[in-house]
Amino acid sequence: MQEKIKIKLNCYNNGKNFPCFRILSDEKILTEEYNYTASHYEKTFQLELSEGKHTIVIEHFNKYPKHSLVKESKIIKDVAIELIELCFHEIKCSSLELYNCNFYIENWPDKKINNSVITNSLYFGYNGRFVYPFKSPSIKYILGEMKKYQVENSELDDFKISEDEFISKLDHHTELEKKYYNNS
Amino acid sequence: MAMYYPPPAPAFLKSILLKAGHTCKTIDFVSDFFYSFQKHPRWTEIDNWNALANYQNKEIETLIEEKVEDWAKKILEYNANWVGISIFSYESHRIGKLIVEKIKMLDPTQKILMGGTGITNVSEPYAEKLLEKGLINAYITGEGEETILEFAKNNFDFPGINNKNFINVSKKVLDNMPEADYSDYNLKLYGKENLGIYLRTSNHTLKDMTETENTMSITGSKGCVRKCSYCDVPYVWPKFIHRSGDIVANEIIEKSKKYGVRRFHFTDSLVNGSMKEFRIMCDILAKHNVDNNANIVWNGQFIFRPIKQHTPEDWELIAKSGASVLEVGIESASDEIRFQMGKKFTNDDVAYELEQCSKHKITTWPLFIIGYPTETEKHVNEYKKFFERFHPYAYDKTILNLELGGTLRIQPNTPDYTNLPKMGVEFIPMPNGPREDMLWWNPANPTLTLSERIRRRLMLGKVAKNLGYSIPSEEKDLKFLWSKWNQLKDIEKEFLDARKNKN
Repeated sequence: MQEKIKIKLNCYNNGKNFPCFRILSDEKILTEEYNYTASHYEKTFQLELSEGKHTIVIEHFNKYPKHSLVKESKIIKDVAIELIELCFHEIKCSSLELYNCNFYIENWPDKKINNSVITNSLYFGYNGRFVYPFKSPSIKYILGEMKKYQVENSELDDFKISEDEFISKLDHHTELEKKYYNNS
Repeated sequence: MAMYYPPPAPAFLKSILLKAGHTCKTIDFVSDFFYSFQKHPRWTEIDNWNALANYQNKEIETLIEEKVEDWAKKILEYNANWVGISIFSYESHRIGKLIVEKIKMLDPTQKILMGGTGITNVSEPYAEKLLEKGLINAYITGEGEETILEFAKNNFDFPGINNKNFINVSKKVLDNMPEADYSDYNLKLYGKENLGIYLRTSNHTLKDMTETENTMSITGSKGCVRKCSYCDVPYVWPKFIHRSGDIVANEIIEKSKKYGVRRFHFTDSLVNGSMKEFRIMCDILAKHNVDNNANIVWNGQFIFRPIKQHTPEDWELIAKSGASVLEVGIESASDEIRFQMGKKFTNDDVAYELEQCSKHKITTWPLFIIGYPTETEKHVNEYKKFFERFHPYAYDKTILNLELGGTLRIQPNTPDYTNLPKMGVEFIPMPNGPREDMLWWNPANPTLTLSERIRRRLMLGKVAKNLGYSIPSEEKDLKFLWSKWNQLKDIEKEFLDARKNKN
């Protein structure tokens, strides 16, 4: 199955050190960037994938904690990458879905942090792997995920109401409203 | 949904594209949807599914999804460079999104263009969101007559393409438009539903109305001469532009000869905006009808005017020209509120116009909006008196049907949207998603809550029905309002609670 996958990243550097990252599909490296100097990255990959489960992995590597320049406890310059957009055939994945994906911290000197998992962030400041699992054909999968993350207000699955029944409910409701709100 | 006349937009755009040397094919899914489901026991729910974003029902959704997937397959068989989807109103949003999803699922490379009033003037940034998500590749707002040609030339910088900075077409373009190309449509499917309406008319109009006739659309003007407070037509068409009366009349006569159709439906916001051109058109049609026994009839939106602006001679001419059903925005039964809305006629003017219609066997379809922000119990009583006063016309079918609607929606790009907040009317924010046009509150008339507006609407519907009026959309309105009430009542309550606590 032909899949066209577009990835857009913002890339951050501290002026001396630049991010290194690679993009993989099912553990196969699609591209690798060492010391990427531009602030934006965008690339489209054409893949032939079998029907079923697959992954896209964005891996950030070769960073050291000293690459983050800190002033008054705040990072003022950093080496990192940030996922801006992941598209399949120009159709964007839901950002809510992306925020729910895991980033696995790897090869990080601080043992307390190493091997832990981060969600709710698309800014990859540690070394590690962001994993986006999906199914091919991708469009069906992505649209299904969009629906899953769509927030609906008070879903209604029963239309059965008679005019008199509804009017009586409204009579009751408006009476309560008058009593409650007009006493303020 | 209704099958009164075939959707003209694709037919017009096709003729414009063909004239410019492009190729184009139109597919009419309106009729397919209608005839596929009309006899289904759950037709009302299926029909309502389109208008109600919060209505979820697995069985209905499966039915619609299967149908839409078939449409997507059919579209893709043409291997078109672009697929254009015409969205008529917010009621087409749900199915419009579904069809683009299905097309993209089957062929993600298919380029899709969306257009229509349903993406031009709606609260929700509907087309914008679909474009952002990559589900469509472009959209056109405003009128498409000129824009579609620029689009076909890949001039994506033309105003109205992927933005709302559309420009209006000129009278010259309007007068020189090629005839709409309905060759891909099955016109025989249209107009039959009219019979359902006309069969209910009394004998004197029955003869003229019950023949198995198809209906064709005709456009005489764009825009409106009024600037009614609730209406967004002046936003899309700041200036009223009309074709010459003789051109319109002759087009009707020519189409009638060419297609063997004698019933026409005007797409105009009003047919009698320019009385001069309207009289010319009626005069030519009347002569044609009388001299040739042609029996051409037409329906369309019409404005009632103050007494004497339509003379008795005008009414005689209107009748002879073939006026059949006039859709009239009376909008309120109260003179006071009607004038607040920008309507410039009184209930006595209505009495005169209806008397003339009755005399000349012309039927009307009055439209109302219940629950205007200043409406009080006094005005509700005026509604009751209005229905009582004019109910004899419901019996002789001068008033064919009433349209009482789903209460006032404060839509963007209307005078109400700008002016009502200045009077203190507040829009109640939705917790998730865009503003809801039905959800507003007037602190100066605090008991007129959403529930009260719906209560008045249903109660007045009952009053009208008991007096003999026909309200064909009553069942659909009931279900629509029930769904909206369930969706919005708690949001309104939370808002009112917060207001009470604040005070």
